[in-house]
Amino acid sequence: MQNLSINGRAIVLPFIFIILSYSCNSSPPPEIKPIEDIDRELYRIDADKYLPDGYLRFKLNIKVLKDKIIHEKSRFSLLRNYEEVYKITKGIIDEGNEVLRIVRTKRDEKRQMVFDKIKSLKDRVKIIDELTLKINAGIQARKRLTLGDLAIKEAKISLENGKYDSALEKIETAYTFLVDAEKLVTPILRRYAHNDLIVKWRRFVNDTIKESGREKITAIIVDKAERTLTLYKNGKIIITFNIGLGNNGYKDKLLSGDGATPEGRYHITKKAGEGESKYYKALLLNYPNQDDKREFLRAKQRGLISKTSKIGGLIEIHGGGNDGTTYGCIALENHDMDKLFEMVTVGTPVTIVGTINPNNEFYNSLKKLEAYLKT
Amino acid sequence: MKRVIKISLSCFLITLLFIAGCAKPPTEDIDSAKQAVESAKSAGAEKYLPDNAKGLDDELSAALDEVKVQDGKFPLLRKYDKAKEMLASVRTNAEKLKADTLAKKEEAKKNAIASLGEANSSISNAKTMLEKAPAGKETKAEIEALKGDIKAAEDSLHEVQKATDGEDYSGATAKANSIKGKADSVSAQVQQAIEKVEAAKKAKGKKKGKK
Repeated sequence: MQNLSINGRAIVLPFIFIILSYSCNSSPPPEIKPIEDIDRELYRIDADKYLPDGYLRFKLNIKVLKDKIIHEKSRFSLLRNYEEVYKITKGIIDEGNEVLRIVRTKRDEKRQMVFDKIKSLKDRVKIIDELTLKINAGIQARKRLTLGDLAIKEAKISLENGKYDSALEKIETAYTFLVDAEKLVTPILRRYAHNDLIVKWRRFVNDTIKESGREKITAIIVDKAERTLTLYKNGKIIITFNIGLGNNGYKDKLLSGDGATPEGRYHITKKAGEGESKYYKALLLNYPNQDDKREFLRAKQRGLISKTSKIGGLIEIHGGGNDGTTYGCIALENHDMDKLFEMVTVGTPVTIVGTINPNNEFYNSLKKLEAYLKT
Repeated sequence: MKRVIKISLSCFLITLLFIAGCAKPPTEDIDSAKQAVESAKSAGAEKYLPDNAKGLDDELSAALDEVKVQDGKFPLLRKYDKAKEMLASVRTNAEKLKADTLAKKEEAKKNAIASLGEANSSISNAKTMLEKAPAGKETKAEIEALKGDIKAAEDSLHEVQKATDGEDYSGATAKANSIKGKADSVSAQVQQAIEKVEAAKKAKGKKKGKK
């Protein structure tokens, strides 16, 4: 009977143990959903880019936690103990929240940085846009400016979509185009801020006015920066007209086809009346003069221009409108041309200068751009 | 009595063996769930629906954890039913995510093509405006510059097509929208120039009338 009792227990006990294993509820494992929520948010805001080490550590700790939970869950119910797991869970939630805080801060800083860069580049576009319009910059400068502007617009779209790295790439592209545009514009502007040149131009102007007074003749002064043509008689101002220049009109003419307007002391060699000129009436100048020829040869010798380049000619003061579309000539409105045409003769001195005003608008624009670049 | 004990023990052992024999790790379920997740990712889920893709990854990870829990148990006590259910859910959700991703991708493609169309239309509109723009003094140089701007913007349209062909639909849309923005701003500038000239003409007319 006693044997039977022992054998009976041997049969019943495993059954009881199995039933207990299935039915007994030890304390449940900790809720890890808050950790998963933090992890999901960190993934969404690209934590791996902003705080790679911190994020990796957080992920590793989650793995350790999960392994511990798995380990406890795998044990018999009666032996499970989640005490340590609870402690670790709390620590990881705190750690995750801290990583989240840092990443959000870094992300906000990056967004602000991208925003500031875009704003700054927009200002730069505005300055270059004004400059290219002022100096009638050629198509190449406008093209680069437009491509830069398009890249900025794309950067703005990326910023709005929270894609800051993509925005920075576009900013870099925009920056390259804008620097290229500036390279085409600033050399022209620098001439108008060059003190030696301004002194030379002033001397030209003063000598011409003195000559007009001394010889009791009319003389013409063309000021490119002011876009004016002033007629002097006996050393006194008679009248001033607005003028137009071509796309490269603010450069000094060097060779044929450069579209630049020459600077120097010239005189009228021919008066072409209505029907004799393509542009209403014209006053042909003795371009190139000796100085121009010397400069041209020097540029050729230095290899600054092609050996096959020609010096060009046919520089005129003509009618047709002062809307700035010449190829190196100086254009006036037809009614102004009528007045001028009557008051000058073949031989009238014509002095063309960049500026006589050190504080001219190109100088100011250049300073504005340089001040911007410094910031 | 001994016979009864022997029979009971045999039954118990057979039952245990039966249970243990049935509780094998769901290898096939794991493989097919993983494959479904990979398939959704290959379709571009991480790019087009990143949050859902992450959610699916987490779901797969939880299912695999459940398998590990059972793997760690005493062989006679392993039960993979829950893990199988979870893996089946992963598979279903992965298939849905793949379908949603493809739909989203198609939508992005349509958006890119529509944006290209809009950019083209804005360019045409700006060009028409520029043709009828007043080429008078004070505006001619500006109009010429704006023509140059539109030409540069138009030349950039091929990049939109290039991005679309390379399945970079969001990039293509952004490019197209920026070109559209530029073209619209040129149109607005031309409109301003037209209004400026018309206002000047009106003012001139009034002045003459007074004389």
